[in-house]
Amino acid sequence: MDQTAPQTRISPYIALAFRVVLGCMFLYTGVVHALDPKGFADAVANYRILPAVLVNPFAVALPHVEMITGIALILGILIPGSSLIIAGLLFVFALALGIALAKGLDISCGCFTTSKEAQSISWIYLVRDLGLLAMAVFVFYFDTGVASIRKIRGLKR
Amino acid sequence: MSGFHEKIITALKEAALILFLSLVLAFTINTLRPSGLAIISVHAQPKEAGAPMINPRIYSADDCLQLLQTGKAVFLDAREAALYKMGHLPGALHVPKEKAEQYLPQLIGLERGGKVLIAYCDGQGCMKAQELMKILQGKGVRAPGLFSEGWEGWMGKGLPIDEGAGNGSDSTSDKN
Repeated sequence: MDQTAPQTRISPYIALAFRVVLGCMFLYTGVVHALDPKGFADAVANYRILPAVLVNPFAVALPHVEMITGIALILGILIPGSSLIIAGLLFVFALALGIALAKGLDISCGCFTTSKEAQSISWIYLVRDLGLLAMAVFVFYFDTGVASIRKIRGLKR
Repeated sequence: MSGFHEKIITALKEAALILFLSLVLAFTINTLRPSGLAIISVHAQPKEAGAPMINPRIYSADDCLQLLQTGKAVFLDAREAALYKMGHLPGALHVPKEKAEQYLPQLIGLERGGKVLIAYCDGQGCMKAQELMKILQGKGVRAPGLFSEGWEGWMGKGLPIDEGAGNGSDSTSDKN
């Protein structure tokens, strides 16, 4: 008889759902940012947090980090490392959004689009970011690799 | 507790591996692709003046073209009158910073009418557009934008231009 608490039994499946949601989201944003490096660099520059010399390197590197961590989460590869990076990124994004909102900047988020015509940032964006951060932390703690490539391959053998 | 400690160590090692792979991939692809960014360069950022101001949005050439095609953009050419006459962005108004106040009512009216005001000058290195934006913001224009690539960036992409005096009244009055 399984003595495990119900929440412990369910947690890996919730973590799987969060993992897939975060993975798809990061893969999508990574592709969007990578397709328009100039637009993304402008969006980063608009926050006025990074020194101007670091804007381009950051705008080049971040989309690939997003894409690789997104793919890793979807496939269930290197889950602790990927969820740790994603949690770290979401924390940094929350800080950047908070600083920009506190300064009263009228800028677009640059989150899921690089268009300048996107809606300006608001506190809703910060709440959404913190929600995603909570999901990443949950994945880090509770994911057991359910439906990961390794487990699927293991089952087939 | 030791299990959690081990998990942290594993996660850090994996994170280092992912970051290393991502950076190698990112900078390799950026070097190979034609639209890659210059890594060692100072990204154009609007200068801030002493007065508090809202951060202006920076527009790329593609953004400008899109806004132009939808009729939403009004470009403000902050260069000298002679350069403006030789060629300017389609429909651009010649608004050197010295004439900013003269155009203020018109510009505020355009902005209230839903137009996006975008200032530009020669290119990445010039400051005239940023200075113009600073003046306009100080005088009540809510959110002027900046086309940081400027005239050089526009011409470099072979995008359409206008020639001649345009809102030539001010170009003429430059001579007065």
